Amino acid sequence: MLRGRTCPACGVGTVSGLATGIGGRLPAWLAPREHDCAGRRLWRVETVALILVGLLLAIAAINDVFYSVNASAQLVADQTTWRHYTGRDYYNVSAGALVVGRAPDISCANSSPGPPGERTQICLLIDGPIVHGLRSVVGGWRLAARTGDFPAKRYDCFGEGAAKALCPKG
Amino acid sequence: MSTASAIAESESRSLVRLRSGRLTAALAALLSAVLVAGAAEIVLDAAVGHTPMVPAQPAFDSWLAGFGQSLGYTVFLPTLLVSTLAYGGLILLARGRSSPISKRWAIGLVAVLQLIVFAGPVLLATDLFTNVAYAHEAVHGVNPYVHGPFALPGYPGFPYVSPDWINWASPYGPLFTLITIPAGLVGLDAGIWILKLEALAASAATLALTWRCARQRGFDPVLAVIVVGLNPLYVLYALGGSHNDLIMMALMMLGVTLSIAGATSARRQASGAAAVVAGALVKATLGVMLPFLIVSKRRVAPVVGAVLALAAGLVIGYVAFGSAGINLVAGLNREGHLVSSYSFASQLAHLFGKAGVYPIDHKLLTGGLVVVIIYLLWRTWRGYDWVTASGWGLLAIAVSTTWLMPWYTIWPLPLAVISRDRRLLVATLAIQAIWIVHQTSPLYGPVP
Repeated sequence: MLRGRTCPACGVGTVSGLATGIGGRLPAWLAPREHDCAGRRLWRVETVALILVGLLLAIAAINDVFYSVNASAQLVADQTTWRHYTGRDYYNVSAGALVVGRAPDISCANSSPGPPGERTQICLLIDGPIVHGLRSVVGGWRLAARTGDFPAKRYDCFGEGAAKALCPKG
Repeated sequence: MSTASAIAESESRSLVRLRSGRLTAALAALLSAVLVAGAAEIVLDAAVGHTPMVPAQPAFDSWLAGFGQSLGYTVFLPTLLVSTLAYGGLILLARGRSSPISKRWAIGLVAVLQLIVFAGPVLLATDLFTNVAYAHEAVHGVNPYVHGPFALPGYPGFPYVSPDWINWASPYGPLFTLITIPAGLVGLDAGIWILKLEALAASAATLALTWRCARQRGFDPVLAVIVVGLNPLYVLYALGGSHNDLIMMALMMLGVTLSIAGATSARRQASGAAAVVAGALVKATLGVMLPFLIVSKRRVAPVVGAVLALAAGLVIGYVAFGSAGINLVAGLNREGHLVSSYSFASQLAHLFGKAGVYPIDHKLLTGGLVVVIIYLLWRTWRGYDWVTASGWGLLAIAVSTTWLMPWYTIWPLPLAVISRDRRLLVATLAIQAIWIVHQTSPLYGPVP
């Protein structure tokens, strides 16, 4: 590491080429140097700044890991809740947020055996904490086969789905 | 009596040293074996077929199939973690004066790891297939700087190009596309091997030049090559995916070698700057290095070298690909607006309660990066080592970009091992460690 005490002769260097003549006109803090003569104080300030940035990034990464683990746990709980509630032990059960960052979440899957999305879908609105591996079903609807989850395609709304008028067609 | 006791004590010390030496040698052998076994496990498992870790690809290395099991997160991530720990252990062992790792051992281990990954399937990204497609475009009269691979009628590699990039024109410099043209002149399998070979050659060149620079600057070249050549992100991600970052880094180290070796030679200074410009014509990111080189040298030669190289590159790029081919900033700008979940920007956004990165965050990050680069230029003007400053600049880009890919974190590594400011090496390895920890999150939660 180059620190103030160990660096070779400091002072405005007798630099050649482009810097010739420039050095004499610049203030001391801006004058070009041949060797790094930054003092210990600057070195410490830089090091502290680097450590702080590193800590911030480490905290952000660990926060993301916790977030990801919780999201996985919630995803599994929502899939289990769908299977438990509908009595259908299907493998392909989608789960996610109805509106990003807001409760409730939504979980959908086929109402009868078939490729994913190829049958009428049962969609459940799921909310609350995970208790014994399950969350609370607070509403839901049915969805026509081979369509995305668009309001126009929803029907048979119940619970929060009906209360919040999430099925325009009823 | 006292002489006898002194002899006994000396013998006892020698015995302890010998035992300790044997122990560290055994430990180094064990850690080396762990690295080789980890790479072999990943390559053999990847050869079984397509998974989220292994992009769909033609069976160009089918002789490896049948030895492993399909590569999933549950194998890849623990292997990555264990390899990282073994890598860290080898660095610690190689640091001491009584390092058990000889020159031959280090070079042999690096070569074995690189060859294992080279022989295997493409890992962890589809970029290689997109680059082969760009080469086919260039050969078949479709401008890769105007049209994405989608514009190539009847291209057999179409299924292997990621849908995300199918409509994207090449974001890379014209020199890279010209280097890859041989891959467009042959069939798909041969084209893949050509780009894999180019990546391997670039990696070997980077390591050889790192060795030379380390020796010239008075550092242990064995340690330098271990730090770079055994790095899991370098081996598994950069070489495993045959990314053009390796070509950029080879030209970066060529620029450093020429500049360091020829401190008093104008021709060498000019050649060094020209090599850096050539690297920027592969991937524009390396352009950040040029101001540090020029500010540090304060001579006309590097400026002349850079201008001549840039002019030559732009003329060749224009003749080959028209004006779109020489718009080096366009690709960076397009990628700069993308957001990857790998990026530190995304992680910080989540930490501050935001759902993701917004346009204002892009502006803040760009502003922060500009401030860091200006500060580093001021420090370089005031005598700070330009090689180290360039390393900090590349690290700052990797940390601040919203489109961080794992292999971007290796950019500053060859510069860090030849830097007298050891903070750069510590920071680079710390960033990589944080990134790896972040990647391992699927290991800690239930599997959906």
